[in-house]
Amino acid sequence: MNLPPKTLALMLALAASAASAAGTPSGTKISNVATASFTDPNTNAPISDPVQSNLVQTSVLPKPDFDTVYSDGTDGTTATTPSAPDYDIKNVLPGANVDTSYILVNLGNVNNQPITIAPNTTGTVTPVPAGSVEYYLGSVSPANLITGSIPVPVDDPLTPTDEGRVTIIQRIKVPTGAAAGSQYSVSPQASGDQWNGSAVVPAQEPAGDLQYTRASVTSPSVTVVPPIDTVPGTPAPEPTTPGTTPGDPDPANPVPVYPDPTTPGTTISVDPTTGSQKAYPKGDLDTTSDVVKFISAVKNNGSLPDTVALIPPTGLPTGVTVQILDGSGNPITKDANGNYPLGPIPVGGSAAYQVVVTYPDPDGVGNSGSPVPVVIGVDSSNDADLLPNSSATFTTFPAQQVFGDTVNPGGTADAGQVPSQGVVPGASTGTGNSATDSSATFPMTVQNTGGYAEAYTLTGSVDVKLVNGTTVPVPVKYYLDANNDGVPDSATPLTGGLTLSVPSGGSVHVIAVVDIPANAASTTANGGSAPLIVKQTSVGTYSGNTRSDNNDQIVVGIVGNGLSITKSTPPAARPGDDLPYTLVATNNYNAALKNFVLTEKGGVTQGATTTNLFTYSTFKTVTGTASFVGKVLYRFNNAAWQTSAVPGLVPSTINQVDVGVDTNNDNTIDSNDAVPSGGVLTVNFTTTVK
Amino acid sequence: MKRSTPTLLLALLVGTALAQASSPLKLVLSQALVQTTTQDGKTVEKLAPDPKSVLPGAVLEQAVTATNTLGKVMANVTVNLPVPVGTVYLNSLKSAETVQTLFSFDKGKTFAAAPLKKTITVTENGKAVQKEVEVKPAEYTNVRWVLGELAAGDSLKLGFRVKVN
Repeated sequence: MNLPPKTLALMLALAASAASAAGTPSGTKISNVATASFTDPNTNAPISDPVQSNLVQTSVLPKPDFDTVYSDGTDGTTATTPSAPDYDIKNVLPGANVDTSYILVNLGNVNNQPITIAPNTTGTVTPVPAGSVEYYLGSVSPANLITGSIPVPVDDPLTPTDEGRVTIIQRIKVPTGAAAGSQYSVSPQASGDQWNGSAVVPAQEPAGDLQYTRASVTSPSVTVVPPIDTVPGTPAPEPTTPGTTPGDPDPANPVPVYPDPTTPGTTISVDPTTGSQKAYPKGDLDTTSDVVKFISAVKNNGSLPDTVALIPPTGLPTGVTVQILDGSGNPITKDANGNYPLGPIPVGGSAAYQVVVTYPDPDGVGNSGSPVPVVIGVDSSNDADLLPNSSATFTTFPAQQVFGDTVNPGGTADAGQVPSQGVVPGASTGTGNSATDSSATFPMTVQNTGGYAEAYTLTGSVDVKLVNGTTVPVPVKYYLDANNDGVPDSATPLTGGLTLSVPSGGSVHVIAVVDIPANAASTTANGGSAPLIVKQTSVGTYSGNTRSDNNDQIVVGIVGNGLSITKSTPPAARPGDDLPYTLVATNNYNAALKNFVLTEKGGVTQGATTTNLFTYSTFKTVTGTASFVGKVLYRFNNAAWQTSAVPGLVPSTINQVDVGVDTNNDNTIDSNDAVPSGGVLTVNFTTTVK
Repeated sequence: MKRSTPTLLLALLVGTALAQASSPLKLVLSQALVQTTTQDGKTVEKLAPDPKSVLPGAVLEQAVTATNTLGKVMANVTVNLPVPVGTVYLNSLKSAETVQTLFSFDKGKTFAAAPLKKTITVTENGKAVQKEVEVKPAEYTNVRWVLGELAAGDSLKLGFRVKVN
C-alpha cells in the first residue's frame, strides 16, 4: 500500500524469483546448522560424517500490508478520472448492473490476512444510494456475495506464482429511476492490519490510493425529423420537395412539402428543424368527416439503440380522432402505458411512422374551420421516465368561408339577409345605392374563417325578363370596397371577379352591381311582385370551397309613358255621309295592361267639350286588330262580349261600343286579359252622320 | 509457507549432539540481529544476539567458530554453512587470508570461488542463444570455507550476513 504502481508491478514480477515481495511468511522459523569436515589423523582420510554445529533458529514476525488494484495492477484514480475504458463505463441503462473486476493484494507476510472491503463514493457526481454497491468473491453469484472480511493468502516465496491475490467483483446497481446523464463513481476501499514501520495497526486504503469505477447513464436523444419517404409502398424513397403552401407569406423561399398520399390534393409542409407539419386540405362537396395522413419519422441521435414510445394526443376537440401507424401504415399495438412503441431504432438511424387525423368537415352544421393541432410526443426507452424527450405538432388547416350580404357594424357576411334593390329601367347605370338608376347594388362580404389565406372568385347572374317576353341573363360585376363604406373604391370592377388573397380570419368587402337593361319588364305591375333573384357564388381559389348567396332581390319599377290613344280625324261630312276614323291604343308601359277596354261613346268630357258621337251619327262598322296574340271581342251597349263585329242591336240604338282583346280565349274581357307592353290595338270605326 | 521442519530438525539436533560429543573439531554457530541506528549523524551498528523473532527485511549475522581440540594439527578442514531458507546472502564476514571462501548456487552440489558463472538461454534475433552470465550473490545457496590446516587449539570464526525475505 502507498507504493507507486511501478514499484508494485516490479515487486510482483520479482515474486516469480526466489525473493518474495511480501517477505517470508509470518511464523516461518529460519533455522541453520553449520557442518565441517577434516582429515581424520587416525585414518588419514576424511572423517566419515561431517561435524555439525548447534542449531540456531528465529521466527519471522508478521508484517502485514495490503492493497486493492485494478485488474492490470494500477490504482490511484479519482471519481472523475477512472481507469478508462474498462472502468469508465458509458451508456449505461437505468436499472443496469455495472460489474468491474479488482484484485485484493496481500502485500505483507501474514497468511489469510482478513481484509474488509467497503464502497467509497467520494467525488461521485450523482449520489450513490445506500445498498447500491455489492462485492463478490471471484464471480457474481448469490453464494459469492461478500458479507464479512476476506482472507487473502500470503504469497509462497518458493513458487513462481503470486498466491497473495484474490479477485473480487464490484457491482454497482444503477437505480431504475436514474436520470439521463447521471454518473455514479465507486471505488472499493480495503481495511485491515498494516505494519506502520514500528507496529501493526488497523489501516484503510487512503484517499489517494483508490481505484474508481464510473458508470455513466446514457443520455438518449430522439428527434422528430421530416419524412424519409412520403409515398410508402413504392420502391424508391421519395422525400419532400421544395414548394409553397396557400397563403405562404414568403413564396420566394420554398419550404419542404409533400402531398398527402391518401388525398394528393392536400399539401403538407414540414418544418425541417422541429419535424412539425402543417396540412392544407381542399374543400369537398360532402359533409362527412375529412381525413389527413401525415408521414413522419423519428431519428435516434443517442449512443444506444432505442425503442421509442409515441405518445398519443390528449384533449382533442369534439369529433377529432387520431390514429398512429407504423411506417408501412399498419396499426401499432399499444404498450402497457397506452403508448405506441416504434423501433428498435439503431444509433444514427430513423424509423418512419404515420399520423392519421380525422376531423369534422367544415361544411357540416356547427363545425368550425379552426385549425386542428395534434401533438405527438416521443419518449425514449433508454431513460427512466415516461415523459416525452421530443414532440412534434401535426396541424390541419381546414378551408372555410362565409359569403353573403355585408352586415354592419362589423362587416360580417350573412347570406340569410334578403335585401331588395329597386331599379328604373332605362335610367342611367350607377354603382351607388340609388333606387332611381337602372343598376342594383348589393354590398357583399367574404369572410375567410378557414385556416389559411386564399383568394376568392366571385360570380353572379340575374335572369331578367324583358318587355318582349324573353329572359336574358345579366352578369354581376364586383367592385372592391376595401373600407366597407358601401362605395366602390374604383371605377374598375375586379377582373374575373377575383379578389386578392384574404388572410385567415380576414374578410374582403365588395359591391355587387347589376345593370338592368332598359327593356326590362316591371316586376311589380298589376298587383304582382316577382322580384328578380340574384344568384351569387364565392369559390376559394385553393380550396375550391364554394358558398352561395341566392336570395338578393331586384325590383323593376313601372316605366313608360303609359297608354297612348290616338284618334284620326275624319274628314268633314254631310248628313248621310260616313265618318271613318281609326283609334290606335298603345301600351307604352313596361308591364302588361289588364282589363283593357277601348270604348267609344258619347258624353266624355275633355276640357270644355263633351263628346256627342252617337247623338249626331249612327254606328255603322267597327273592326279591331291587335298587334299581339288574342281574339278581338266587341261589346255593344254593355251587352255581352261577342266575337262578331256586327251588333245584334239596331245600329241607331247603339250608343257605346267596346273593343277588347281576349288573350286567354275565355270570350270575355277581364283582368285575365293582358295587353302586353308595347302591344297595339287598332280599331277602325265608321259612323254615319245623321 | 508450508514446511514441516520440526521432525527433521529434531533428528538433526540429536545427530548434532552425538557428532559434537565425539568430534575433535568443535563448531559453535551463533546468530545475531544486526541493528542499525544513527547516533550523532553516524551510522552505528549493534548486534543483538539470538533474536527469537525477526521482521521480514531484518539482517541476521550468522557466525560459526571452528576450534581444533585434537591436540595436533588438523588437515583439510572445511566448514559449510547453508544460506538459510527464507533469507538471501548479503556478504561474508572477514576471514583469515589463508581461508578460501567458495560459494554454491545449486544447493551445495558444486562450489566455486566468486564470481560464479552460469549459462542461460536467451532469445536474440528470434534465435535461442546460450550466454554465460555472473551469478549474483543473492542467488548463493551455500557458503564453504576451506581452512586447510588448523593448528592444535586454534579457533577460526567464519560467517556471513543474510537478509530475511
